Amino acid sequence: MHRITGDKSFWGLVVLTLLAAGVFSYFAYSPPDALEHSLEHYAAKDASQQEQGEPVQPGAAETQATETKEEGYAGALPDYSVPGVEKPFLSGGAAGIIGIAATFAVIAGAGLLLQSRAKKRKEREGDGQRTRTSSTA
Amino acid sequence: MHIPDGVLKGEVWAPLAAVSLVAVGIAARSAGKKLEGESIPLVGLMGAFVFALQMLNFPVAAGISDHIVGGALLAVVFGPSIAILCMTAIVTIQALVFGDGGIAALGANVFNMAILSTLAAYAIYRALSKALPKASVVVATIAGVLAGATGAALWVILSQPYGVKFFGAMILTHLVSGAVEAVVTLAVVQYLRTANLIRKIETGASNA
Repeated sequence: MHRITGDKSFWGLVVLTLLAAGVFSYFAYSPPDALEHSLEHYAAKDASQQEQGEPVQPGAAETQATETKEEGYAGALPDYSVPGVEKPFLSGGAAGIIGIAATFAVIAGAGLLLQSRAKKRKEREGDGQRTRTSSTA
Repeated sequence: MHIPDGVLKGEVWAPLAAVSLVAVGIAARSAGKKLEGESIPLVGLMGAFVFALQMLNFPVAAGISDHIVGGALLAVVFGPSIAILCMTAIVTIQALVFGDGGIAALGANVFNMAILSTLAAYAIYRALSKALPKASVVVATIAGVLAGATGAALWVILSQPYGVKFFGAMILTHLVSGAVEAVVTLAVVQYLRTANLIRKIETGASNA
């Protein structure tokens, strides 16, 4: 098995990941995503019409959805930006790079841990079998 | 597709968190064995790549954006257990560090995006990949996105007075984003196949 880190296409993917998180993310389409949009626009409308038989005031649904959103925990890098960094391009880009680095670290760390635990489990099972066979011999 | 806090009721998010915890535990144990045949740097890189792709929101209609999920891509490349592990890491980091998706809703979001979406995509990919190495990736990706969106919509409807219109809007918008994601997934899978970065793609190996 060849070392993957010696592979040109591996590094191509590294560069693509860095560009996507650090640069292209700045050009992402910013309106609310499909779930947020649906939450805002279809909130309580169906139900209140069915239950009360009268239309809700326009905007009521939006206010409700925005309020619930603002209650939430924002995180250390809220909305994919670094607090205190003025330029949106740098702030968003840095947040993206931190995000991919954290993701890589967590997955690789968990991966190494799980891999070694699986190996130990296999060894223990092997030992168990050997002890059993030797004791019967 | 990240559900924020304040939307789901406790009766909905708490059981989902418990189910996700157990499912991720099972996946982690199975991933340990699978990882022996994989390159850990590549698994970490693909996870980071999906995180980056998730930042790239694109328009699905005027004033509505969406981003790819990525569970289908990871499932096609590494199989379901490693994919669930990677997606769980991504969704958890998004919630804890970036405030993307709620904390109470984390279990529900892991269930939708890391487990449901990934398993649905993988089941379809596995069933079709021998006969249709490319089309199976497309169909699996769209199915995965729709499965995740259906889950998210269902948990919202169980918690709040939302109805058929909300459900319909969720399916329609995610049909569009699923189609976009299918193209992206196929392009990346073909890149990995031709670059020989993945030694075999699960059941699609003979056709790769």
